Amino acid sequence: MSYAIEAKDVSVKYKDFTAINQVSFQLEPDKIHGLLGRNGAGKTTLLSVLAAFRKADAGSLTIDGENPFENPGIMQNTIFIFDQHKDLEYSYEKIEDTLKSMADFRPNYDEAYAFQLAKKFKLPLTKKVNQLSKGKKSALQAIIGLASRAPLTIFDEAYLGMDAPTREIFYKEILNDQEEHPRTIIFSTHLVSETDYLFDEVLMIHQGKVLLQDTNEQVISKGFSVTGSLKQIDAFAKDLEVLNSQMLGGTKSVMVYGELSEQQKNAANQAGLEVGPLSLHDLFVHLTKEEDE
Amino acid sequence: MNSIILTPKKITRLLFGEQVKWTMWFLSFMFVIYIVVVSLVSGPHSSFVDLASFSNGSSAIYMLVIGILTTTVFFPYYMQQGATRKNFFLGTMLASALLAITITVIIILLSFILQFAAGWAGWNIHTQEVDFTSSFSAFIYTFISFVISHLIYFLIGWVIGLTFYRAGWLYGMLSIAFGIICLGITGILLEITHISFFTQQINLPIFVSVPLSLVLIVILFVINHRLIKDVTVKI
Repeated sequence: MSYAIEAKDVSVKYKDFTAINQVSFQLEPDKIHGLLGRNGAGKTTLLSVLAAFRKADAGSLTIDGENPFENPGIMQNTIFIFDQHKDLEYSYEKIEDTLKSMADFRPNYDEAYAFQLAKKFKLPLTKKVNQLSKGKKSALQAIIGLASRAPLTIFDEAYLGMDAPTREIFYKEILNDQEEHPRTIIFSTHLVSETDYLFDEVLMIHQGKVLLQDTNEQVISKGFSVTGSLKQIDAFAKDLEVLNSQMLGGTKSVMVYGELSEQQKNAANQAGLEVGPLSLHDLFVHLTKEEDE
Repeated sequence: MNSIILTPKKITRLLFGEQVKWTMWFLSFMFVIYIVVVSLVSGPHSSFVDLASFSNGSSAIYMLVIGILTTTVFFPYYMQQGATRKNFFLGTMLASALLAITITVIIILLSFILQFAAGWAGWNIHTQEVDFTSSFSAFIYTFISFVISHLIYFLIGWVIGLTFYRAGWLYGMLSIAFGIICLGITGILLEITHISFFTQQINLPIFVSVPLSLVLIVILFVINHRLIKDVTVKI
């Protein structure tokens, strides 16, 4: 089972501050959606609404065609793993007991898989949860998030404190388990460079608004870097949306957002300009750049 | 579509199981302290309150604390496990009533045991403070008063914790004032509570005081329901 999500003009306000401003999007089931946004872009607020942790102030949100707020069926099938572990600080339970107890809450929870993951993440099963390091606490949460196999699984910066090899294991497990048990995964992050290969689709938000939403390939196909002599580049790029430019001596390199027509590609080739792809990371960094940066 | 697995009944079972564990620790400490104090101060010319009234103060405060912790500990936990606010509310409601009954039963049992032990050890224990042995009706009245006052303390704690969680410190402070007023009212209604604004007990007949206490309980449940039903879960 996997959930489709539809948001229409969803807004959330904190007193005078609009955290989410009339956001609309659709998320297809069975896919991994990368939710990208800078600090304070509204990612966690948006995810809180999806997880029914808060009500939206305006607009409508449906998960599997229903309003998730106080909806017992949707809520037990939505798991929200976030980067804070306040609860775990006061958990004096052993890890093995915690992993076993999750079956009480989640209909699709696979205990055997959870223990298998605990081994992979090297969690000491007989240790108490509150004694774990930050990274291990994150690993425990990640295990619960994966093994719950919830039709809507949300990871919000869930890798916090994990070292690079552990993060690798985490990403790999997401891909492996998703293949066998497809669900809707929302993976919120600002560590784009190391996670971009996970995403089927990308939803980028900035200052409470949707900046772009498309398949990962489509998003990447819209970014180019063009390198050549200063003069040539200035002439070539004058009608394009330039995200960033760098100069080294007489050579200039620009990052361009938008699709290049065949004509433009040919022109670039003829002029001897070097055209290359942009990474999702580059696009993210430069599309969300603020004016004073 | 799976059926709902986090039903109010299940939340009650899980919450109550956890709270009983805490309660056993609390009552054991209380019992040990009591025994130590009694054996130190007890003598031919000294006397000491019996366990029922000795514990009522501390066990009521214990219920108040559990009530506050309901919002800071249990609520975020159950929300993270995918419970709805409504089912959590219903589960907490049942668990708190069960807990109030359980604490009362244990304290009364301990009091009986102590009376026997006191007779055997020659301790001088006042049994006049709370009367639950003179007649069956006195026992029932004491039992019901104990359960009601423990439940009210719990509910006041729950209101205070929830108000702080939902509306911040200013309203939280107001909720404490509200809690004190509720305890004052409980003091008028039930003899055994320890906070009373009046030096002289107004002795209301049982058929007035018990229904009025139940009304107070219902009001507190309604307030908690209003506070919890659309509260934002903080992360």
